Amino acid sequence: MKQLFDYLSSFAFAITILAFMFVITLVGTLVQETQMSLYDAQRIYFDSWFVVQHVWGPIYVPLPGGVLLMTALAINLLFGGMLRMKRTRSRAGILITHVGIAMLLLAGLVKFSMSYEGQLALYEGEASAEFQDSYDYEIVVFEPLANGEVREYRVPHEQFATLGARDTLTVRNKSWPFELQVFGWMPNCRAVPPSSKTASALPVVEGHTLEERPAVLKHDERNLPGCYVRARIGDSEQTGILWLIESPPMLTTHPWTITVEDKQWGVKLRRETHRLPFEVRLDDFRAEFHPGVRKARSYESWITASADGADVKHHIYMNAPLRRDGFTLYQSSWGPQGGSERDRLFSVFSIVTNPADSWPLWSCVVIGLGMLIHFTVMLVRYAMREARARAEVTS
Amino acid sequence: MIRSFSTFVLAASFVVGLAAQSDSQRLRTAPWSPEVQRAFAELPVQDGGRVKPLDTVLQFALYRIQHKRKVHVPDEARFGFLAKTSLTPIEWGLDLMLYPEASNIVPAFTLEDSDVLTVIGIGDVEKRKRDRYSYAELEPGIQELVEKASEYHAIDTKKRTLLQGQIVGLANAVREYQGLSRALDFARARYVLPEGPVRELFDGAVEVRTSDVLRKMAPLIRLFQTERDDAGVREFADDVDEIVKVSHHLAWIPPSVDSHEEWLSVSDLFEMSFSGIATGDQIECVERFEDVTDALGTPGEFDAAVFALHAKLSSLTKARGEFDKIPGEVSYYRADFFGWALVLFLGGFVVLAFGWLAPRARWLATGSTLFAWAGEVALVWGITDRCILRERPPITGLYDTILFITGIVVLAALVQEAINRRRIGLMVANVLGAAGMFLSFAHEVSSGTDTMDPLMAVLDTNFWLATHVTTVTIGYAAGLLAAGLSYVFLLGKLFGLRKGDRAFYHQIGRMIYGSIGFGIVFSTVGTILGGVWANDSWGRFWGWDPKENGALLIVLWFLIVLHARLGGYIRHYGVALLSVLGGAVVAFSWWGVNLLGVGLHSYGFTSGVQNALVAYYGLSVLVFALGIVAWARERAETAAAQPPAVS
Repeated sequence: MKQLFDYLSSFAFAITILAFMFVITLVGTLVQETQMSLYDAQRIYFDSWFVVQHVWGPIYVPLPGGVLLMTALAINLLFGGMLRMKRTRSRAGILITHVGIAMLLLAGLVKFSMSYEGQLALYEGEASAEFQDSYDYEIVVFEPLANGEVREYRVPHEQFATLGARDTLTVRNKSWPFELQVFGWMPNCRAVPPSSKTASALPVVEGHTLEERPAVLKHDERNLPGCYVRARIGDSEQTGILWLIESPPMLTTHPWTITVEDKQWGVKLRRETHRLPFEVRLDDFRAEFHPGVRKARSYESWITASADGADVKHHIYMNAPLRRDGFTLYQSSWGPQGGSERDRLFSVFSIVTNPADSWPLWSCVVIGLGMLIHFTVMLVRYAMREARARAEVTS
Repeated sequence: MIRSFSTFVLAASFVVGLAAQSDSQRLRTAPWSPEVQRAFAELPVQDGGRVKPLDTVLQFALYRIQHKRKVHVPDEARFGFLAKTSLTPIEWGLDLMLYPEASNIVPAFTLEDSDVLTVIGIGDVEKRKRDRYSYAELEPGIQELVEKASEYHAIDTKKRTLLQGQIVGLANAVREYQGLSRALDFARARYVLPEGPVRELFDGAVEVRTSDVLRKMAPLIRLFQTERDDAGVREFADDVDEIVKVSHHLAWIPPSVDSHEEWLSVSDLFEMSFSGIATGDQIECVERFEDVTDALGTPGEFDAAVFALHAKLSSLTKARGEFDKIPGEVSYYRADFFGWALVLFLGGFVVLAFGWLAPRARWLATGSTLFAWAGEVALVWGITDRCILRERPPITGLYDTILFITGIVVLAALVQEAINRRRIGLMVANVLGAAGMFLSFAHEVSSGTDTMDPLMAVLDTNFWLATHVTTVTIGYAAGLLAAGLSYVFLLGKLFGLRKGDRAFYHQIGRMIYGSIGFGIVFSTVGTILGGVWANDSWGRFWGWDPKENGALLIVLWFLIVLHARLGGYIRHYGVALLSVLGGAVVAFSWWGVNLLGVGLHSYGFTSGVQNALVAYYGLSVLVFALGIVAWARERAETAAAQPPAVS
């Protein structure tokens, strides 16, 4: 046990972790040049426990992923950098630095496990309290209720987004008079009339079938996924296609409808939708450019946030987001492309929720302080030693 | 370079159908007076999103066209007075605008590869592979150049071959040259009026100037519409159209309405005059330009006309509050702080080198120290001047990082020198100072982009530029200083410099370690501050994008070195070896991540940087390997020197 503690708290372990972190960070950066999007690089290299890295030809090398390395670093930091380390005055700076790094790792853990992010696009005058997830999708079944309202049943991203070309996901709900099958999931596709390019095994629905396209590696947001759905009602079945269409400001899709005993149900593929605790209305949006060139000088949105009957005006622009009720809304982009003041413009906000929002700032202060103390002490000692040495030579 | 290739001006003859002045067809015969140069240099022009001096516009145009800071005129009789002179950007620009036809024989274009000539059908011009050409030499191939460039322009920049990229680059340079050379056609133009309604409109005048035409544009438009069958009217309309086409290059007429931010070219002024919007002030600006070209060749009158032009444009610009930084910017470029810094650092190195030959002559070390400090003062002065002119912290772009990093490296090395006085820091300060200044010149010239242009929206925050960007860049400087000292350590060991002087190497080792300690503080704090900025602005602390990762790589490398040293796994030798590689890590973070996504066939600046970067990585690996050799040799020598063990 002591040997294990000694190793986990050792410099050797620290150096090993740091070296692997260096390798993972370097590889995870280089792959973004041509091989994958930032999102995929993050998922594969940094949000993972292990990575199998293709080196050359048939050679593959297993590497620890970011999560494993961060965990190991936290252990080493705790054991070696705080518990085992000699707590002398001269090492006070190092100890403070290690505490700051631990705070930073904790902030990362909270962000990793509890944060989510998405986008909200509004035309001037529009309002919404819902925003779309940046990465995840959902299939939603709509049931019209007798009182005119609509009930939503959601099939989450992780249940269908990993389906292979021949896999089928069956979803049942006791409130439904049918069983829903999801198959033929494609991360990037278009609905087209059948041709020699489309897979003949796939069904043709209302003269269309899905044609798979190569995934856009560098720009995840340009991928338009799609899939087939089949509703089995007793012995009969109805088949439909769900696919997303680029329709600025956001992706959109039309629901596929199932009719069971004169009641129409809707099924739709969309970006996962989150709710804000307040409604956002875009009052005005302005994009300014430096004179004579199309280089952006500023993008600014004036919004009204409403909750419980109270309206509050806010001004959001680059480097000045709105922080409210645990959500951060920042100015992300705008459109339509090439639009001017004469056009009806839309503004896109990125929305993030992160309980550890301000922790990095505090850890930065602690780390900076710790390092400053340590290296100032070192510098003063060095200068004094040199002065002494010169004095000895002179005498 | 966004404008479409359809805007190319292909006509070689000037002022078609108009009465041209003969002065434009001969080279000047006397130097431009300093006062005239200064007045022209200060003419305000809106370009790249800001109002800047004409001097700056011409300087960067010259970089894009010739990839050099001056135009060297060959020693040939046909160049007359100009033979064997070096023209500054303002001199070259004045010649080009005021003597356009004659200036076409001056070699102002640099071609990196003469194969370009073969592609555009003038391969019979005999020159070296990389050589300078005049517009007159290129002119027969310009039609072909335009066609080829249009074709290659459609190809994604990453997929263009080097030659295709060079053709597009040359086409852009030719277009810019044409734009400048015809920039004052409007002022030289004399419109010969046909008899009939046009002449009547101008009260019987036979010949008028552009300013006269602008004043009558509204009735002229009506005339063009009602008398379109009149051959004389049509010919006159074509003359006007010709001037409109060639007068768009420089936006040097201030708008009359304060709320309008976009300045006008003379082409714009014509368009505004159609509806009678152009004001008397704006047309008066055109008149002042005309006075200048009219007075060309009459020294006293010419100077007076130039000063009147300067007075008119500067007063309108001052009224808009856009002139206050212009004289300062001209002075900044004239002062050439970084050129002086380069000379002083090189001087410091030369004096120090003499000091190695005469180790007892302490005054040489003192002299070298003074040179280095003087170089540092010039450098810091230049950086400060840039901050004042832009009202920004020291770093807003890559060019600024070169200046700032050099300033920090030199300062840190001189502080180390002040503490230990071993002449190691002094040497590193002078060598890295000079290298940094060379790099800044190379970057400025090869990128050809004004380094003071306004920032994009996301960077428009002086707080974060002053904190995150500054601290993280100091971290880069520390890493490079550690690498520079490590080169001295390892190459010194390899070549037996001060062999056996353990104290000397012990001292360098401590300096390297100190630099890393200095670097880890700033790199770590700077990197985290970057995350705090991202969190504050975008709601996420860390996004694993290349720039963030680049900064993290430096922090990780420093941490590896420090922990390996603290754990006793490496000592001075090991720290020096790892620091050499650390220099390559800094280079990757500083320059390398900016090139990610840039293909192997890219043209010009980026390919040049890529080659330099690969060369630096190679050098780092080579010095690392040589360091290992030196270390192995030293171990073997130490083992051999040990007395045999007594059994």
